[in-house]
Amino acid sequence: MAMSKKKIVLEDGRYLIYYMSDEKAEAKQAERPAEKCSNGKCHGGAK
Amino acid sequence: MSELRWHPILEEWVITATHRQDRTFLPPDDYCPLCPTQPGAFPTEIPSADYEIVTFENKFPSLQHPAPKPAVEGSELYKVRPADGICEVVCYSSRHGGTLTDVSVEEMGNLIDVWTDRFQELGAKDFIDYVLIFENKGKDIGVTLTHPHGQIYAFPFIPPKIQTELDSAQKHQDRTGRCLFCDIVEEELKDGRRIVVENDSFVAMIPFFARYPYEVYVFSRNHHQSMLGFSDKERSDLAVILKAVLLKYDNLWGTLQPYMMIMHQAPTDGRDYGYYHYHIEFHPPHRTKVKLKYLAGCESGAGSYINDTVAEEKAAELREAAPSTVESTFLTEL
Repeated sequence: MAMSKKKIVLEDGRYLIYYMSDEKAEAKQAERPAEKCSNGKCHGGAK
Repeated sequence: MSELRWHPILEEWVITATHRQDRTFLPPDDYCPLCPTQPGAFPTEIPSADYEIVTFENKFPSLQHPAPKPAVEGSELYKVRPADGICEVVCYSSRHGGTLTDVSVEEMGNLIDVWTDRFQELGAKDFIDYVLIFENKGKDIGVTLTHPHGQIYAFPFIPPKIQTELDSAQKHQDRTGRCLFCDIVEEELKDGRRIVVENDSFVAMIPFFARYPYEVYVFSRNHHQSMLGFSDKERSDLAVILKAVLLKYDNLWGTLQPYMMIMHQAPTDGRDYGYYHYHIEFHPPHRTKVKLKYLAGCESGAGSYINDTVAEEKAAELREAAPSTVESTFLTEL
């Protein structure tokens, strides 16, 4: 299946499943800011 | 009050679900419970500010798991069971306006993947015997929410109409050694007058025995019990033919055609139904642009349908409606 899924539980106990196509999932991932190290510097730099 | 009550005359279960009497009924667009929840705005069923396709347990389910204990006492004649099962709502798109006809072929393909996933997951539950994927569209059908969506009912029993189909299919197989539905497709293709649209993997027709004037059946050419057996090509072809049928319905009179769309698949109770064959049935209630086909005394009272039209003529009308070919379905998206 070309859709990823994420199941959550609503406040009243019912479940809800989000389906996302691989393309949209990748686009969303690309929008996220780069992760920072615990010392506040971004990954990718030379040590 | 929620339970299954046995109908001893028709030998079928009737679902009682009194909590559904007060379900949300045609809310204003600003209060659509199926739209994504916008920051600071009315909280809907869907917490996220956007989504592609979402499915969730119905807030007003006809069947629920675990089911509450029946509030009535049954008897030997009037059997009672808990209304155990699962009811889901499937939101096709976060866009409020529009219908399933407006989703792109690619989006339709994604929806087919979701339906397949739901059928597999729900069907695998040991208390579920049948998974029904369907859509009620339009106020003429009795739809209470206009945001494009469908539903899934996972039953603890095989619904009566499906059981009738299974019985007919088994009898035909025993008598002829062949699949009833494969024979129907073969006969319809040989005749040709009732074919509406077709592609490599599917055939859409108004069958010889249509009960509604514009009733369309979509059959897989290959013999499949359910969509679990579809190849990637078949799933892709299904997306195209569904889009084509929906466009033809809306282009027939230039109006949004209401319908019930019901996916017929084999039960999920663990038995082998090799004689059954996947298909989708569309039941649009209109017999003309402005007149409805009502299920009145003869249909509802005696189960005997009267079709005021001739299937061959109605099929010709749908063939004429755009798109003229399955290939031109894609042109509607340019």
